[in-house]
Amino acid sequence: MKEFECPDAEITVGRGVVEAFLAAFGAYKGRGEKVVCRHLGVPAISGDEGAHFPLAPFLQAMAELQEQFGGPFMRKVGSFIFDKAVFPPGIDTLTKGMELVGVAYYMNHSENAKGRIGGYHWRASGEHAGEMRCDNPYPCAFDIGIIETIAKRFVPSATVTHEPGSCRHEGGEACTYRLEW
Amino acid sequence: MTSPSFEERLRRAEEVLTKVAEGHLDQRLEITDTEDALTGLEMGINFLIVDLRSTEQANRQQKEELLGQQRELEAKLLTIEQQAAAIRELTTPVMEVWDDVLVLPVVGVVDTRRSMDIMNNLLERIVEKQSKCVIIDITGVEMVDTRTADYLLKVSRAASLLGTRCVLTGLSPAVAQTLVEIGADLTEVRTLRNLKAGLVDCLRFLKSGRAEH
Repeated sequence: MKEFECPDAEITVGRGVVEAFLAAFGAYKGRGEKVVCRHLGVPAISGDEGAHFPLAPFLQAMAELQEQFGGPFMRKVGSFIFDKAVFPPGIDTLTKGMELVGVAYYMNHSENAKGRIGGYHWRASGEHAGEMRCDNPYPCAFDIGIIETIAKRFVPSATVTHEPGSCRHEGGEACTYRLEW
Repeated sequence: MTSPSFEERLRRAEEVLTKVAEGHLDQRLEITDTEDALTGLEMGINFLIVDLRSTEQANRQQKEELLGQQRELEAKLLTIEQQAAAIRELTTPVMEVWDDVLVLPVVGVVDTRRSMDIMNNLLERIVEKQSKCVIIDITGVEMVDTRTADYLLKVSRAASLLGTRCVLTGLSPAVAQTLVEIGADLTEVRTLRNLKAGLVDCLRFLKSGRAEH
């Protein structure tokens, strides 16, 4: 799936992902919220824990702000996901974290999104290495932020590198990241 | 790739602000991984650009909408003007009922604008057809006030100046009474009961004219 392309206008994203996105702006959170609201066509982001927002305009807000703030900033946004979004319980190792990112991804999107918005596909390749293939519509740098944060939470020396070849930021359908720890 | 130094970033921020001030809203400041005293300034500048761009886009959309509305209104006004012209033409029909005889039937209310249209239209047709007689039939006029009476006299005088005999027909008793009451001077206008009488009169006039020649 290409970066920022939503397959269906009915698909929604949970408040946790939006919160993570806004948290990255720090003191400028309110300004970031203003941009997201402009794209969503709402006066304010609902404070309701279970609130959901249309994915397509949210991705457009992300696209606008990635364009303005750059890839490293989007990586920072991704780093907030593990703490702000919904994750299944019991993640206590790097491997478990990688295995369950895909599950968490669907937990943070509407039911109708299943099988339609790509995901996170983990494949271990040895005791301390593996590849994560991402074919979701979120930006490449954002996914690096998510993967890196989870990995470093359990193994601070873990490294994440983008495998050569397809990259969503370059118009590709998927990105593959190699993890070593 | 090494991260730019503090000075470089500061210089870049200044450069971006200068370009933005010149109206170049395609500027951006990439936020680095390291958060320091400059990050806030860079974030602020980026949001300033985002806001300016958004406002500019909204203004452009609004301007386009307004232009669209203006074009729509202009088209409507043109249609109204065309319809008004068509109505004016329809309300002042001048017909050639016989060789050298024009008839102008007047129906309804005659206001200043309409009286001017009637006068212009009639005089144009007189010149165009070189008619010797014109009958103004006011059977369809229910009320006559001083202004209408004045207009009828002016039309008659103008027609006479062009060498055309003017006959007024179809005066209802009420209209005749009003004309008398308001003291309108109709001595210089030949008045007859109805259109038929007017036509007979004109034909007789034309015949006598030919006989003289």
